Amino acid sequence: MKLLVVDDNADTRQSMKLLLERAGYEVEVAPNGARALEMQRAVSAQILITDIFMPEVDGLETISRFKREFPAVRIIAMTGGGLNFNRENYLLSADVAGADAVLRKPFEKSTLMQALQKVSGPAIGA
Amino acid sequence: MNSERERDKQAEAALQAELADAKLLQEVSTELVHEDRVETLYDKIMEAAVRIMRSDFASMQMLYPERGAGGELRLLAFRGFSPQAALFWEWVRADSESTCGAALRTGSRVIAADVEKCDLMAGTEDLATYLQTGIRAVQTTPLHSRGGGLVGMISTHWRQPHQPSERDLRLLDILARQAADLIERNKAEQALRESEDRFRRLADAVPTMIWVSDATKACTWFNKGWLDFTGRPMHELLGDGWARDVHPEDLDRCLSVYRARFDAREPFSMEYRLKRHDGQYRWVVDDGIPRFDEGGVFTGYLGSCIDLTERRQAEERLREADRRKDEFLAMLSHELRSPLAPIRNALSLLDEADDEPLVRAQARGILDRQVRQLTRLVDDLLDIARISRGSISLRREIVRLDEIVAGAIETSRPLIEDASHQLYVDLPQEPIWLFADRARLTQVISNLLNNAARYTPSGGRIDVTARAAGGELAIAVRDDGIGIEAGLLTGIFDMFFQAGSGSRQATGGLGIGLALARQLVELHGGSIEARSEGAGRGSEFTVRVPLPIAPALSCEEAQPCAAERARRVLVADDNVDAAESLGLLLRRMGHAVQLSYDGVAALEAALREPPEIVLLDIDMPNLDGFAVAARLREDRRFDRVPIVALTGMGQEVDRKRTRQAGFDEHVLKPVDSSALRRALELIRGNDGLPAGPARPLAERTAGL
Repeated sequence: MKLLVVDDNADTRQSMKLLLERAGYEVEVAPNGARALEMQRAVSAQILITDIFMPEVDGLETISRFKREFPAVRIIAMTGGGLNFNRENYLLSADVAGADAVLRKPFEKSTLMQALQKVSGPAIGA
Repeated sequence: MNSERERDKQAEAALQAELADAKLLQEVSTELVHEDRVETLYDKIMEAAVRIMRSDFASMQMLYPERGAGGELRLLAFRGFSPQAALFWEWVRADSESTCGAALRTGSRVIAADVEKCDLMAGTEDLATYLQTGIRAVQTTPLHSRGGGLVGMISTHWRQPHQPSERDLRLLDILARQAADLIERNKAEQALRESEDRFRRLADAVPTMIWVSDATKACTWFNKGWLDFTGRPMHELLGDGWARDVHPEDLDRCLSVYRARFDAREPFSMEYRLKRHDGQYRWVVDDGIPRFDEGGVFTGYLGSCIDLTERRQAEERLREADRRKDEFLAMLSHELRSPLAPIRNALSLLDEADDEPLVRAQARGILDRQVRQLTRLVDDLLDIARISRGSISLRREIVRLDEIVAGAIETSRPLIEDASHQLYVDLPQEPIWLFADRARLTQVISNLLNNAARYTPSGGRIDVTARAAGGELAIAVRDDGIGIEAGLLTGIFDMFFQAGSGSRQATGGLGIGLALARQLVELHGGSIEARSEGAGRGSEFTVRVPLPIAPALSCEEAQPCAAERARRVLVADDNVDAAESLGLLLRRMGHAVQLSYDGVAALEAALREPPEIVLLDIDMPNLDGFAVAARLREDRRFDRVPIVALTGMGQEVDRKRTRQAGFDEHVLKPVDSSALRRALELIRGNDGLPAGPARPLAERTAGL
């Protein structure tokens, strides 16, 4: 199964890639949403794991564009935010934007794996 | 027959008189109802009293029960008296020996048919005044209100002894009733006038705008506050004239609220803009309440108005500060949690990759960088706390600009590289020395670099340049990023300010970097400035800090010499700047320096802890360089300690003089660093090292 991880923090990208590859996933990384959209055409990942709070094209924008352009891709959002920001709740916003799961940073590996199971469950059967 | 006719005539005359009196009384009653001027009515009553009683004088008094013991009577109106007599009787006390005094004490009518035979008045000043005025007889009748209370007196007086008839007195009682009514009415009106007057004085004194309207919605009065605010005279405001100052956009709403509430007789509160005398519209809150008289009849409205503009602005500022604080807390959560994600991941990797050195090394690298990032964040937060307490202080030293810039780039490198920005650094060829807190100035430049990296789309260009001119150094960090709208430039150094706040274009960071940078630069005696051509056109931040004054010390020469041994040096100069710059240079060379600013302090310091070399200014107050050197030479501990003269006098005669005084070296001011080095080499002889031009000790002391 192929994953695309989007985060503006290089260490987050690297550590996610290492962890997920060891768990048997094929992992590509992108530093921002614009790059992720570009890459997806070549990569055709089944699951997108994206940070919410990023420069340029942020996570919410990335999610809605993925839903439009690649509707088959399942989406996990991750964020360190969550308090009221700009009078919007980011966790809630991520849900509204259509993420299939939302993780709050930092998260245990097991939490990440459960989220992956959850979003990929029916897809794997298919 | 005759007598019968006489009787008829008399009866007819009496009847005529009664008719005339009745007519008179009726006239008085009618006038009481129709006449408004109270003085006219008093006069009318006096006239009626004289006619009814066939007297020569009459007077009428009003009781002021609260005055004196038992109250006092005040003359309201009179007829026939001279002004002097009127003045005498203007106030009559209850203990007065007059008929009115007696009537006041007893509450009933008093008649003195012949004042000279009246026991009451015998030998009193009152009697003398009566007689002087030409009064021989007097009667006083108390005036009782309808409620029964005593309100005043009515008196009539005759030039001849006179006993008034029962009939006259009966008629007088009717007149007295009317006089009592009049006084009652007058008292009520006076109370009302006083109350009104009190209200107006109060209303004019308060810092509120007050208006009054009548039952037809027309405004009938405005206080001084309103007149001052609008700058209009009363007559322009009356009726609905006030409405012309209401903002045209608010007028319809304002009038419809006013009319609707008015018709419902309900209180209202509304806000609208009202034009001030200077033409500026100010937000006001206007509170109106309906007025009712004692009988519950609606009489109009009373309203008060307060200028809200300042309060609104303050509220807006508070709301803005609160919003920024909320955003700051949300950002703080994000900024603290984000580095924790890779840290948690790295820990998982360490757990499961026991025997995979490469993965473990990668995990450690991640941990190291992210912990560093978190530490920096916490440090920033603590700095903010220190700055808001005003307890931040600098640890200044002589530092090189290129080191500062290199340190800042090192710190910001991850952010710059993550975004694939190109960084260009252009510093002056020659080294620039600053007297600054190395860590703080590095932090300032790093904050600017972080901002440039954050607010520039990937693959952008960042330039760091520095120019020294006019005694100050200008360091600029320029990017070709999202830029800053002109309207935001002023607020950009405020705490918690962030570009893109209010949009989703936020790019991380706490919004404290620039606020911190400004505070730190200002602590250095410098300034910071932001410039941008506008949104999308890049930004430039320029830090200006003063350059240190180090006369005759070339920066290049001041580089530390690792080979040189650290020396304990005592420097004495009453010119504090000269002493300190020399001290800085010596410290930079790696020596331990003790500074003194006069001869006495230098001597004390030297004797307390003998240095390895002494640099003495010659012209110092209290104890000059010669005296200090002479005293040190007396101490055996200084036998082998070089003493150097710092002086502006370079003639051979001067050199001879210092040599004779026991100085080992004569160095001309301003101090040239090669001369300083030569002087320091004098110590080397003492170390027993072969090198060094130091003369043998014997020769040095030969002059003594």
